[in-house]
Amino acid sequence: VSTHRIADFAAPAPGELTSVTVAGKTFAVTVDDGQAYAFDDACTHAQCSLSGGEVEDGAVICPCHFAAFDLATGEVRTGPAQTALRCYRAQLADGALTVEVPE
Amino acid sequence: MTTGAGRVVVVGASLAGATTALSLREDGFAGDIVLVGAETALPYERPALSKTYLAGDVQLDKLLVRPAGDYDSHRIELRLGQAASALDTDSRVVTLGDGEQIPYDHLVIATGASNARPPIPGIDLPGIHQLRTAADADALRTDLAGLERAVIVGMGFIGCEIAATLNGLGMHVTAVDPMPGPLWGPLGPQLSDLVRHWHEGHGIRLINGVGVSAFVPDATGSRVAAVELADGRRLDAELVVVGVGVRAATGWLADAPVHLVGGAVGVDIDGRTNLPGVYAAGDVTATWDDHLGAHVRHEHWANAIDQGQRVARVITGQPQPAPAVPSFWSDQFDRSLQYAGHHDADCDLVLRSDLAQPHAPQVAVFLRAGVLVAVLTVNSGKELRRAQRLIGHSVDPAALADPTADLRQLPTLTAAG
Repeated sequence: VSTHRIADFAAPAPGELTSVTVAGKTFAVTVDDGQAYAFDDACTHAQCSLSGGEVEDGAVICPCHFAAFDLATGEVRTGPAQTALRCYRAQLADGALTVEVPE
Repeated sequence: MTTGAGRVVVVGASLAGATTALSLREDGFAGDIVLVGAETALPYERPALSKTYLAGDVQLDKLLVRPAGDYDSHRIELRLGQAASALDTDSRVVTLGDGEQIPYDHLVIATGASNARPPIPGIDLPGIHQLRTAADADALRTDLAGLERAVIVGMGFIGCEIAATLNGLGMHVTAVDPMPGPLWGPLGPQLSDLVRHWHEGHGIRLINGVGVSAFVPDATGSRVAAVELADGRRLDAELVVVGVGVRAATGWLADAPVHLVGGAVGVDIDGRTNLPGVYAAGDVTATWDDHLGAHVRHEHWANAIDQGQRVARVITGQPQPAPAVPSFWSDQFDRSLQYAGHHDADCDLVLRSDLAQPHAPQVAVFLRAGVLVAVLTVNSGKELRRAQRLIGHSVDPAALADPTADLRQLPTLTAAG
């Protein structure tokens, strides 16, 4: 596991997402009740950028075709996506975001 | 909990048909479920056929509604490669193409639609394609290898998507449609012009306001070589794709007393037909809309799933959620277009974006007598979801037109009703 730290992380408003790119990989990040969630920015259906979507009822909604993924597990809640979203351990502390990426 | 008994026969292994069959079991249906389909492939989703599947970027196994094992685990009997040929609603029997008769207690009609085939001279020439099934897409993809010039007849969603895909594959594409612009019917003049900019910006030639009078064969008569227009112009064509709309696939119901509306199966919001024990879902239906006071065709992915789930709930006696707002998407080039609601030419268009900037995200809202009835977005699905929640509400057009105004905070004047 490699841990990436983004020192000056601008947390998105509740329900919103932002994207961060570390080590050549782009993640979508949202913060819900103080907890940061990070996952692949590319939707598993048609590779749309999930950071352009929104979070509702604990699910990330893709802005292209409205596939919904569970925020905590990445499981598909509603299609058209069929493959779960890859999630990463993320933490928010003192304005910095850390994301753990398995090697 | 299990509920219900007897046998459900679902005719049409479409997205709607497969969804109905799978949902029945997931809703606790305890009886037999038979899923009959004309195609030999497991049920698959069609949206990618004109886009990533045609481009060769994705294989059919990625488009399956569910993996093969799900039909076993749900105890769904698959009868694939078998089209239904007749329905007898008195004795409750479906007849298949090979003559086999399957009795049912509940019947679900999910036979979808088939492509309209215009009676243009030369339409049967090799090199002229239509696209509905994966086999159609395979044939088109095989045929286009090494060819340079394609003519697309029809600029509805399917024509526009195929034009964009063939353009992306490096072909010289010309598209022809008798309407004044692409997607003119569904989108209206201003948004049609936006789509025109996308296509012309990628080098696609659009010829509007003129129809096709004939397909012209090559010297040996063995393949299409040109498309002749009603104004006498002639377009060289090594390949032609015709996409001029669909017809509900109801030919097999000709002798049954199922109420048809414009050739489609008339249903209520939950998929009930006029006959007891007979339901329909997906592209084959025309659904009664209380607000519009008319039956409406919704030939789109989301409706196939929603109606399939609703039919399953009717049969198993489950409560229904509120009806979903009709919606669809279309991907062309690097644009993702989303639409929700229902509008017509009498509606007012309010823009929250600048159509003169065809590469920018777009948000267009349709009002009828001040009530928000539909929304269209391009590369801006978040705004679509927010505007969609305002459907049925009166909104101030000036506030709506301000792109800096948060749609979640927009004051509404009346509740949805």
